[in-house]
Amino acid sequence: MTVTDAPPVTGWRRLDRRSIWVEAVRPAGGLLLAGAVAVTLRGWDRLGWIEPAIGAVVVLGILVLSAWAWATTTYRVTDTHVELRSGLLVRSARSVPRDRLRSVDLTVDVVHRVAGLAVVAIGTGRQGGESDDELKLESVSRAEAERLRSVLLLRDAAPAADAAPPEPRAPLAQFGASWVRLAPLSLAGLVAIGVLAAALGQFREAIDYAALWGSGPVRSGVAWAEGVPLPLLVLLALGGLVLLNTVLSTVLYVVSYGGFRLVRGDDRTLRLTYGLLTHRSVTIEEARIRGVRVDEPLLLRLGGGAKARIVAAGLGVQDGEGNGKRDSDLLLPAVPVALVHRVTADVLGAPSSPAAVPLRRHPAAALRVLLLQWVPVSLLPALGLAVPAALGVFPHWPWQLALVLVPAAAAGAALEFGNLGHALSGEFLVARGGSGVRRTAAVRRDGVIAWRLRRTVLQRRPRLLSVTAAVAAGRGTHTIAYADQDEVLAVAAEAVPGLLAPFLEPDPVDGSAAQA
Amino acid sequence: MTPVPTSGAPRLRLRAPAHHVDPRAVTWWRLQNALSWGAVLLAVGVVLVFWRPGWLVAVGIAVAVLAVADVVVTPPIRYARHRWETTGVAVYVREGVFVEDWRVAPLSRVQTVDTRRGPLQQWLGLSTVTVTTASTAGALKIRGLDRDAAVELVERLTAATEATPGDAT
Repeated sequence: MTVTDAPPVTGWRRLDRRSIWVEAVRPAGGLLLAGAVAVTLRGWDRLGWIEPAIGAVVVLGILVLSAWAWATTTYRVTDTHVELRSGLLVRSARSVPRDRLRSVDLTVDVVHRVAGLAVVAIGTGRQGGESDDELKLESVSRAEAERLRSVLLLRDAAPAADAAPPEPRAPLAQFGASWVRLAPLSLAGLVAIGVLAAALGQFREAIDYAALWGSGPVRSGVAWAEGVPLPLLVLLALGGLVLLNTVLSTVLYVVSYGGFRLVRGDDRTLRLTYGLLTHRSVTIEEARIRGVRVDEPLLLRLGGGAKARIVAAGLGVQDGEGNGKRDSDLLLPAVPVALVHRVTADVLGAPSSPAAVPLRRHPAAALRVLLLQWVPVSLLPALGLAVPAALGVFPHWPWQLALVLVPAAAAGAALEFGNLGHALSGEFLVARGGSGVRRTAAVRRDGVIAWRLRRTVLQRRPRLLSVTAAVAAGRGTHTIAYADQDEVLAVAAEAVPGLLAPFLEPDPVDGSAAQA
Repeated sequence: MTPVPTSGAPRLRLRAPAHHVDPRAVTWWRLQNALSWGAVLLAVGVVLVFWRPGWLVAVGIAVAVLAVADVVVTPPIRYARHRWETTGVAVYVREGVFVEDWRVAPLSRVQTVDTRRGPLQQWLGLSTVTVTTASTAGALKIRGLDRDAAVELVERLTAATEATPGDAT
């Protein structure tokens, strides 16, 4: 980053001309691939001239649209604003003040890499609609992308006086062999199998089942399976799924996160780079980071791993789940938990990770509330199946089988209760919850921009309260669920001095019904 | 199941915000509920004209009872629960009948203050004031204020918001 004195870019620019082809490759390629698969399954001899003709026209249409999109898209960076004009039919012009920019996210997938291009997404931190929180340029040349990154996150203001001296560029985290050990603990492989199966399902009408059934391998397979006892068969199938998941998850993990590097730039930014096929490079301004979230899916947690995400506005993920399309808030993929704690402490500038402090547990009454939430719902499938069974139009075993959901739901509630907790740790408010995935959010107390407190009728008598700290970041909800009312009110009042305190009053012991 | 105060922690609760919304809000919610339940009842009624099994009659009666309760009983409770207050530093709103909901936002973090009036509200001379912050979780709504009081509130909040520098995140 030697661009400290680069002049600001002025004048309207177009995207790279090559983007016409690059943007067309994916839809056109997908179409051609789908066509090829369909034709292969139906048999090449049934292919006439009309299908290729339609294909050619559609591909041409895609190219024309792509060229038009290129011709109508311009952008510029002025001293104060970033502006983007685009739109085929509906012209849109967006202008974002440069001091509102939070992150610059470069994505280079295989096609873009071949063409020497990159997609630049600029996080703006707006909370309006789905597409509002980022400004996307697809695509510009690699050099232009790097230049934009340097120019955009460069503030003319000198770093704050308390800034640490520039550190040596040792990465905060770097992909290692020990990370891969944790990859099989994800269900990503099974998800991939599901997606693949669904995609193949599109072609099910083109499959000649009779021929498939009659084919040699299938017949001998079925004959073999008939000779194996059922429990063993089920075990074998499960084992096969586990094996498949292990292999696929590991491959996906290495392809997605291979080459992971997290470094701190000397311009007070964090930079993440990762990905073997699709290169991802995300730069986040440290001043915009409001906290971190540590996610521990049950399997991963048992294996001693965790993932981490950054809580900051303008990181492109709209759903709090973080499984969203962009993933720009990723801080660490599944890695050993000790590394997560070290890196989060480092990133937050805290002596130790606030996400690892001991938390205050929530009262046992919360377990009852959770059970009342989980268990009745889990009874519904059994009830729904039992009615036709009682009428004699449906067998009995399905509803009996559906009863398995009840202990599962109770276990889910118990798991969630075990995860509940909160704490104040230095500058951070820590909230933990979730059942299958334990989520621990640690957000800066001065980043809390509003409080939202809720309780249902069930929570009223046992004096439980759910407190959400609103943070200007994504969906921005960090909830301390089903906490003891007195305790959590005191914690919330302390977390942001002067905000909640004026609205609190002592609760007379005998006045539980005296609420106006 | 008497609640046991935790060791040392004083018993605390959120106090009620100072102001009620306009009493006409009760009429507004009654009309709203009557209209939405009316649509459901109308649909059930139309079906009953052509087809009248016993269970559907029972469902119809149950829906009618719920509808009457929701028109007669709920709006006054909702009015009693829905209260608001602004201080020099914060906006504080409480609402909710079955799920109680309190929201507090500091004026320094307020991004926009809007008013909104639906057709029924226009007819009754009411307004809903929405105060948004930089988080989607942090929006506060004061529903059913008198129109003029709402305008005055918006002006006051906007002035207070503009007085604070920064981008409220």
